[in-house]
Amino acid sequence: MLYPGDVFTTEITTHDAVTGAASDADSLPTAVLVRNAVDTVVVVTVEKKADTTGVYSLTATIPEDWDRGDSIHFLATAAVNSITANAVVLPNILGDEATREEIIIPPSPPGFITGYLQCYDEVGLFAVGVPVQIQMTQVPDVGGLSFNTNVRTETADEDGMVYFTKLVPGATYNIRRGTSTFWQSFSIAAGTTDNIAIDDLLGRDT
Amino acid sequence: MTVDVEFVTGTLKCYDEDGELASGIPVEMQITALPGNGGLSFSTASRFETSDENGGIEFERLVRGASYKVRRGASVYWTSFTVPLGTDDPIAIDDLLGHDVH
Repeated sequence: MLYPGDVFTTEITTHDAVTGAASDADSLPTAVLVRNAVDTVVVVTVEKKADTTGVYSLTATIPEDWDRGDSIHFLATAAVNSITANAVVLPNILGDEATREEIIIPPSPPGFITGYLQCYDEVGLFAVGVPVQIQMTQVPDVGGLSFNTNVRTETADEDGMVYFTKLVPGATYNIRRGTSTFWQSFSIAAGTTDNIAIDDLLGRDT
Repeated sequence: MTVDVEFVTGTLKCYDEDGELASGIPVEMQITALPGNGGLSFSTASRFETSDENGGIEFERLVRGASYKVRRGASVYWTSFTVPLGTDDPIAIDDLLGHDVH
């Protein structure tokens, strides 16, 4: 995820239009940073990558006052053997710096950890309000512990984040998203003290 | 803190049985596997795009390293592909045969 203030950088390659072979451009390619389909005046630095043929870097700093949800990309132009071509490069949707700082994993008490997931819909946007359920299926086997097997449900927040606090190191859980028929299993290694990213999870929403 | 995920655009060019560019062709896609780095959840709902006047289709925000299945038109069979690692963007979706409804 990119945020206002971040450095936006990538590489492009140039080719001979007839043979397809990598080839240096006739002159240094140019590029503009496009925001919401409008060309901007943000400075894009284009540099030839040393010891390569036809590889150039594009670098720009995303202005601090751009907004979450802005669609951005580079529009690069290069000519090889007098044939000029354009390319849309690295399309992205901006996140919000303030939001990034607000995403803090809720802590769990000593002896427990917090597991988290970030939920997206089928087109890659945050899936707000998606329910995720977990159920303990195996206790840590350290003796003297009893948990129930009730299902607990958490819902994705505005950043698609779902947090399960008070997960038990050494335990195994089933997890599912939405109305998925199938549950996926994940285990937390005994002795884990850091919060964890729960295993990637596919699911069907209501 | 955010969960790392990288999006790319996948492209297809649709032709008809006569080798002419085919506009208005629906292509359906579903995610089938995530990169496996942890911390990500995606919906398995289908998404649809339709070819433009030049036969072009773009699926934006595909997850780099994830696998998808894709089918054209009324085809019964799906084709699977994995979004390659690396820096290419857009990427060409694997070639796809399909049956269109006329």
